[in-house]
Amino acid sequence: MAALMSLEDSVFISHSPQGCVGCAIMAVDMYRVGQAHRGIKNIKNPRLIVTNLDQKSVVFGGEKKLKEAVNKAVTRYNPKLCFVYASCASGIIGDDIDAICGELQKEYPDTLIIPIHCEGFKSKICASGFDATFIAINKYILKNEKVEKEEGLVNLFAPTTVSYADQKEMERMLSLLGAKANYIPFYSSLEKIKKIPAAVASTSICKVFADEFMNTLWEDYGIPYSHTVMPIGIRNTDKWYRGIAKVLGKEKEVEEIISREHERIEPLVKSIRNRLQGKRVFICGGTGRSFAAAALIDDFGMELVGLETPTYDADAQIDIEYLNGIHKDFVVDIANMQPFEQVNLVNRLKPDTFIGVPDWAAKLGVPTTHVLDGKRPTMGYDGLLFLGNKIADQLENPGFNKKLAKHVKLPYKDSWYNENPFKYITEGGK
Amino acid sequence: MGELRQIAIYGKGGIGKSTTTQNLTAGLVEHGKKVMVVGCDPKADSTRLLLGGLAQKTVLDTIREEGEDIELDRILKEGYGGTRCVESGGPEPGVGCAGRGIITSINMLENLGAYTDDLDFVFYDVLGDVVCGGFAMPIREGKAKEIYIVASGEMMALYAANNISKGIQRYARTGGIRLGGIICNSRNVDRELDLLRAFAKELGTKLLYFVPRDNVVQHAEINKKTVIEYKPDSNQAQEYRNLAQAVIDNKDFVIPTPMTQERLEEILMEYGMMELADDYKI
Repeated sequence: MAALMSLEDSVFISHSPQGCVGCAIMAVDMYRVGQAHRGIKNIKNPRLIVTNLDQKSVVFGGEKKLKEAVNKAVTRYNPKLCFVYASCASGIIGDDIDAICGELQKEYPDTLIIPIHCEGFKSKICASGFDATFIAINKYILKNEKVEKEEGLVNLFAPTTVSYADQKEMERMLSLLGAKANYIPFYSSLEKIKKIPAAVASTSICKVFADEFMNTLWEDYGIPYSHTVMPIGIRNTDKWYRGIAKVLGKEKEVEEIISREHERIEPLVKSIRNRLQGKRVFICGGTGRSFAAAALIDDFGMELVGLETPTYDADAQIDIEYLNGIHKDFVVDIANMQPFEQVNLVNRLKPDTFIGVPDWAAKLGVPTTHVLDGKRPTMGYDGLLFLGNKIADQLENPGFNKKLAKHVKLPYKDSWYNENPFKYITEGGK
Repeated sequence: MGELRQIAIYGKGGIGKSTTTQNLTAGLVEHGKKVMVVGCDPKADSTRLLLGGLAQKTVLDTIREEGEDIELDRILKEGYGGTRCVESGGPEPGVGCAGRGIITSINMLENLGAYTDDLDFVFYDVLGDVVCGGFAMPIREGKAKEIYIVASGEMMALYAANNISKGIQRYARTGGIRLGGIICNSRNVDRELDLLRAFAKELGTKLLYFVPRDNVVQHAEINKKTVIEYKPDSNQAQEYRNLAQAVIDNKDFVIPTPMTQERLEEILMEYGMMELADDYKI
């Protein structure tokens, strides 16, 4: 749902118990701030309907409620798109959302009704939800129809957590290559989505976002794509930039642009480096972002002492080896929702600063900088400067975190901080 | 009146669980016992012989049509000899979740105070196999403590019985649930008694009672009555009385030891095949 909430002319129906949409509030906040950043005067809330599956619906089937919800959605809002999301509950009882959507589609020809199979138990990885969404978009909107190609149009896929400033920076960088971005799926519309097959190339801002879909676009529509890294830090930004430039056949041009950009930002990066040189840092974020952020600190001459990532794979190993070449000694914590390891590590390593998702570390008194807030810039050449200054400002003004730590206690016993942080990892899952 | 005994009856679909349960209930009534029968099958045919027809509105139909604010007498009907009859019912075929339905209706019965102190026995007549958590509800959370499996000498009946034992074994570890024995509802297959005895022994339990096959059962069913009510003087009526006595007297409750498919087939080979293997007369 987070993937599509900012789509224009859309209604979202969650065929689930009402608690399942509790997390939507985070996406609503992003959406509202995102609209404000984009200068929209009349800020809207997303149109979200939950079918409220309860005990009775589970026993007798929830199909009637779903029909009612779609009827209401169409008569109230007359949207162009109506997305229907499955849930764990609807999946277990086997409500046939495809058949219901198909039936109602005949009744409402002006609204495209799209079922999305995102039952939560299918995967532990949130990116799978995005994949399910793109599968549905391909099946119900694009439908393998061939459209006329548009010169220089590039699909730019971005996850929710990319701010408007980052979007503009990416668009600016693409425009220097003579390309025009079709920014998908945030703040786009049915028209923009329909234009996806018209693009000459695709790229994604996040390593694990839309990667499957870009491959599908290559297979179904012959659109080449670049799948590199998240453009955080000079090295990664260069890499990301070269990736898409290569697909567009602008390898020579991009080198010129890169050296111009370097020349422009280097003095500014240097002044940040003066403020951050030698500072010890702990990093934690999403998979792509953790590694990308780890590369970024090299730009500022910081020392990596610890890194937390939710997943580990062959790609991650490449990143770790790269980091090994720069930093002598750092701890890698592969943890998907094990904050107890993180707090122990951060407390033990006593970094000067923490970059990433600071929910826990902030309460340990370490100056923290968020890289996933989705509202402020972190990417590309300009984003790097903003982020660098932000880290430095935070480091020089640690009062907030210090006070927070004084008044907030994390829910762990004092004895835990003296234990081995990886105490609970046993061999062979015993 | 002793302590309330809650008993769940499982067994392969069509084996005669409902028929056996209701005739057994009639036998218990003659022994002066107070019995409640809870049908846990969406088909809602577990109390037909006691009530003289499908006269019962199911718990789930009632909830669906009238909401959850209902009185006990809307869903509990009195049948033969003062037995209390409840049908859990279920969703329409092909929608929703029948297992969750069983959970809902048993919770409902508890909330409405159906389990009164004067009851001696509560029977849960559960459909076919323990297909999911919902159909295991009667043996979870300290409800039924005793289980009887209805079986016959047919391969699939024993296969189902073995599978059900796996479910019992699982819940026996955490709850107090125990297997009380196998009730054979005879199909007149070769060496059925020996086979069932061997099978029960392998499961670590016993053959509680062997109910012979008799056409009077069919006649009674057509007349919507238990055999005890329809033909109290028949041999079959006496068989059911004996079964009731066997249940009353039973003190052997075990955690079953389900067997592997190979072992089950070995037993079948040993007892199910006779020298006269080519005689297919039934």
